[in-house]
Amino acid sequence: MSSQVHYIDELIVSEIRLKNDRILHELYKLHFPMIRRLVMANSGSEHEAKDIYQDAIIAFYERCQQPDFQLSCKISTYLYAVSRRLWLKRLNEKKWTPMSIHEADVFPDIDTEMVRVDENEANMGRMQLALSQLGEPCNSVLLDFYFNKFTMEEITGKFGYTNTDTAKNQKYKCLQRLKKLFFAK
Amino acid sequence: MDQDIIEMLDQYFRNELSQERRREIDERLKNDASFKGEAERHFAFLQTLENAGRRAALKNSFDLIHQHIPADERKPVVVPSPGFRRFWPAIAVAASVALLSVVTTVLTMQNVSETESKYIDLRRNVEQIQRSQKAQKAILDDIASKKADPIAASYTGTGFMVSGSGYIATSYHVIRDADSVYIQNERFGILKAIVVRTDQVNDVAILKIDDPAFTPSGQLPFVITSAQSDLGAGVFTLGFPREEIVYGEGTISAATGYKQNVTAYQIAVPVNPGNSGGPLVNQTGEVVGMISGIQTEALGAAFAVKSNILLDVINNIPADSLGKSIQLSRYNRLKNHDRTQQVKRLRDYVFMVKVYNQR
Repeated sequence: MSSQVHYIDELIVSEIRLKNDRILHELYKLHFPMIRRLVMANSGSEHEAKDIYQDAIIAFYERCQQPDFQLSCKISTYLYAVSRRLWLKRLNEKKWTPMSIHEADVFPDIDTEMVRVDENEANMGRMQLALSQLGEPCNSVLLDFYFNKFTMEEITGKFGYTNTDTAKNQKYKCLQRLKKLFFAK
Repeated sequence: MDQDIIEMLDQYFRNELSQERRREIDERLKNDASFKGEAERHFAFLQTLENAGRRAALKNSFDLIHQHIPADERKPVVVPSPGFRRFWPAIAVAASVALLSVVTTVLTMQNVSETESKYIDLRRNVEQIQRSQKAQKAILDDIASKKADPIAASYTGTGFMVSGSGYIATSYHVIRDADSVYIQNERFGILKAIVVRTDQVNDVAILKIDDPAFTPSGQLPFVITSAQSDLGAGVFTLGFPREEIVYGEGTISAATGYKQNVTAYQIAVPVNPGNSGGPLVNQTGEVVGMISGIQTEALGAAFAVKSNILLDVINNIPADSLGKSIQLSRYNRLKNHDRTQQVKRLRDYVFMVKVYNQR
C-alpha cells in the first residue's frame, strides 16, 4: 500500500512541475485540516494555521520546481514536518513555551530542509520589504519584466513610455534602486 | 555594472540571446572570474525577485481557494490521541486515494471542463465541414452538377427504412430545424421525404418518402426487435458521418443511457457527427436501437435509443396521418448470414438524411 501512496505522490509532483494549478489547489485543500488541527491544538489560531500552512506548501512547490528534486517521503509528511517546525519557531519567537507537539511524521533530512526553508523565508521577507519600499511604478515594471516575463514592448505600452529605450532605462534605474534597498543593512 | 551589461545579462537570464551571443557570454563567464562573480550575484538576485513575484501570486490563489475549505468545528482537538495515531496511516491512505481521484478526473477532464453541453447530438453541421473542404468541393461540384443537388444541405444525419412502404426512422434532432428533408443512398438515389411523426423526448422522428420516383420495396430483410439487448452484446452500425457510408462496430456497454435514461443504451461503438439516426444492429441482424448522441466527458461513451421505444413511436402514429398503415417486417432474413453479408443487405436501407433550412 505504501508504494502505491508514493506513486500517487510522484504523480502529483510531476503535475505540479507542469504548473497544473488545479492539482496544487486540490493538494492545498486536502492537507489544510491536518495543519489546522496541529496549530490549533498548540495555542494557535486558524489564521496562524493558514499562514504557516501557506509557507509550507510554497516551500514544497518551490522544491518541486528544482530539477534535482526527488521526493523522499510522502507529501503529507513533508507538509506536516515543515509546518510543525515553522510553528515551533513562531511559538519560540512569541516566547511561548511550546507544548509538546507530537512528532508523528518526520523525514530524515528535515534539518537540512529547514535550513533551506528558513533561508528562503528570510530572503523572501527581505525582497518583499524592499519591493514595498520601492513603490510604484518601479515595483510593477520589475515584476512584469522579471516574473510575468513581459517583453519590453509590452511594458512600454502598459506604462506609457515613449519608446522601448525609455522603458529599458526606467527598468535599469528601478533595478538599481531595488538592489540598494535589498542589500541595505 | 553598467546598464549595457545588465541588459545583456537580463537577456541571458530570459534566454533571449542568439546562440552565438550566448556562447560569447559563456566563454567570458568561464575566463573572467570577477565578471562571473558579478553575473552570478545578479542572476541570484533576479531569481529571488522572480520567486517573490511567484510567492505573491501563489498566496493570492491560495487565499481564494481557502474560502472553500469548510471552517473548523472550533473544538480544540487534542492531538495526538492514541486513537489518532493508530488510525493515521489509514487516514493518510484514504486522503491520498481521494486526491488520486482528483488527479485522474483532472487529467481526463481538462479539455472539456469548459464545455457547456455534456451531451452532443450527432447530426453533422455541413457548413463547418464544407469550409475545410472548399477546394475539394469545387472539383466535386463539377461532377455532382449533373445530379440534382442544387444547394448543400444544412445538416445531415442518418436514417434507415423501417417499412418497405417508405417509412424512415431517424433522430429528432437531425430534422429539428428542417424546412425540407431529403434522403439519399446508392440504391434509391435522392428522394424527398416528409416528417410524419416526432418524439422529442426520445429523440425519434419518422419520415415518409414523398417522391414519385420511389417504388415501395416490399418486405424488408431485417426486423426491429422489441427485446432488450444484453450487456456485452456485439453490435454494429452503418451511418453517414461523411459522404460515404461508414461501418462501425462495438458492444452494448450499459443498459441505460445518458444520466440513467432507461430508454437508451450506452454503447461502445465509434460514432461521429452524422451517425445520428443510424441503426444499431446485433449479431443476428436485428435492429436493437438507433444512434443518438455521445457524452463529452467520457471518451467513447455513445448512446442509442432502444428499439422498443422506436417501435412504440411507430405504433403510436395515428392511422389517419398515414397514407397506408406501416407494415413492419416480421421475418429476419439476415439471421444466418455473416457480418459482411448482413452489411451488404442492410446498406440498401440506410440513408443519409439531408436537412435544408433557410436559417
